[in-house]
Amino acid sequence: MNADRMAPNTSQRPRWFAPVLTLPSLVAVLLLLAWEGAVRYSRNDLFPGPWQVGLGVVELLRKGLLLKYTVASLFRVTWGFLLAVLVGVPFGLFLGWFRTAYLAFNPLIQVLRPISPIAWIPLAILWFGVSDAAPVFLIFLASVFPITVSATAAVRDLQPVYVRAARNFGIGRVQLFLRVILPATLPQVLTGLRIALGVAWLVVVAAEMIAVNSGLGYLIIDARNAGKRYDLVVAGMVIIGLIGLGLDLLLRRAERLEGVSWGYAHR
Amino acid sequence: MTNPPPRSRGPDTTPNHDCPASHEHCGAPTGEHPPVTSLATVSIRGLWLTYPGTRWGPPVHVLEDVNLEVRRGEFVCIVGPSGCGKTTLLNIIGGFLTATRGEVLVEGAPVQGPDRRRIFIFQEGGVFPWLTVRENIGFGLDRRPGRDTVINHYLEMVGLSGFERSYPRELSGGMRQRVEIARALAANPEILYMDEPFGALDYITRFKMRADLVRIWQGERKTVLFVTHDIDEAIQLGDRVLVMTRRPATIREVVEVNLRRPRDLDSPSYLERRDRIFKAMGMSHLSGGPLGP
Ligand SMILES: Nc1ncnc2c1ncn2[C@@H]1O[C@H](COP(=O)(O)OP(=O)(O)O)[C@@H](O)[C@H]1O
Ligand SMILES: [Mg+2]
Repeated sequence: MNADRMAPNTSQRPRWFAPVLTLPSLVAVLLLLAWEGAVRYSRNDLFPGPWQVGLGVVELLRKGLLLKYTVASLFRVTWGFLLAVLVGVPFGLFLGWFRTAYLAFNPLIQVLRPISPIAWIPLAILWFGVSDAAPVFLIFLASVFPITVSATAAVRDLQPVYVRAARNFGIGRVQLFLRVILPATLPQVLTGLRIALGVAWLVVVAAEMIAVNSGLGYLIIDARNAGKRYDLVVAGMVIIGLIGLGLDLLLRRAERLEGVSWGYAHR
Repeated sequence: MTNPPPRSRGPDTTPNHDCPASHEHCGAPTGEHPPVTSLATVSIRGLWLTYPGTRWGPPVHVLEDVNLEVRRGEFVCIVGPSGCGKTTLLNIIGGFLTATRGEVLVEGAPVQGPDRRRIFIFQEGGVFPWLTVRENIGFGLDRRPGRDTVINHYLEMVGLSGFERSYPRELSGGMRQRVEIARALAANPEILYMDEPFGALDYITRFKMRADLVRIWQGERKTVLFVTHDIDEAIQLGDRVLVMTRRPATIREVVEVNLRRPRDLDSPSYLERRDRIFKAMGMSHLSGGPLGP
């Protein structure tokens, strides 16, 4: 492993042999084989093998459901997550900077934070009915706490020497915020966003199983209820996993952007 | 640098002495205003500082009756054992901390807080990791024309041309210190407060940094107040060396160095000054080095 990293271009191996791709592919192939084997061996009619799941994905694609439900889920996540960013980042930075505010609000946050967003589903339906607003609200709840907490921690971890150095140059409060507090905390805030987006994607599926009738979560519960179509259930699960991976990669990419990359240990 | 005309303080700028009616203990004359020599740019009278006790510990008496004067254009070193209160003293002078009692005058006016005419260089390193070398050096400069010229000038002065687009984490410790010095100088301050700026560097780098600092100082003629725990560093750099005692600290002795730069570290006069400082810190050569009893 280390040798690969030290000399990436002078490797004797052919280019296609990149361990980051080949090793996981190997694991995937073995897993699929075991899955297929297990299904055949158990002679279970209900549980699909990988081939049937692949066909299920194609069927969903052809009917246009895959696109439609993916868009519906992403739409809810986008709104819930954006609202959480708009509330959580400023509020978190504020709590990190003002000790009194922190003392006042932190206990409340610490009590609300461990409540699973799933537990809010009944209230969300009570308040918003069966509409897009209910899952958006749940996603907001799920992501606003990790975002707030990480922004607060980022400010509290800020080295006082940077604030002093900046104040020494005679800059005002607004400038201090824009030129020191914000850039200094951005990497840690971004990490909070990444965690929050992961949670949001977990929650949208759960919320859609109960509170609405579209989206990938609904797809799964509907495929089961409407005809025990476990091939579609598993197809939905695979798609959820892939999209979740995509979202995470997106924010990982953002961590390489100029302006935040200084804050991460380069691996 | 030319000296501005002597400033005399009017009656309205009377400093408020917090010490008791008689100033015997703090060295300030009673009654009349304390005389301010026209050359003194930093002047400290009867400075005391006690950190309040916490839940975990009793109050810490750090500074006890510190008096000192720094003249314009002078390079003054403050040397003292670790933990004696050097950073605390410099933080008070820099306006980051308020003394328990006593007064700090800079250019005849009490210090109200940090000021861009006096730039602090921090022991922990105050270079912003989210800015490039160039952006760091330009931090204190307005977006006026000529900004780039100033930045380039100081980049070159500290020997960092070619690294302007690097981030601090890509630099060595010595280079980061150079960035901080360049950033301070670019803001064109009158005074530099330097808190053990080379403390974290290796021996060779420290040597080079001192030589460069002297060269820069001879060019710019800023007033420098330089804190260190390293006696040799103090004598190599300073016009005068103020020796601080252990906590609660005061300034025990002032050693005029009066040697031509660059200084010959083997000359008898150098060694004589070194000896005096060792003695003032309560450590003779025979009873062990700086870490001795
Ligand atoms: N904020 C603080 N609260 C309480 N004690 C402090 C604080 N800062 C420093 N001290 C104590 O004051 C003493 C002097 O510290 P400092 O000025 O940093 O010393 P030096 O810079 O000479 O090493 C030390 O004993 C330190 O533990
Ligand atoms: Mg110190």
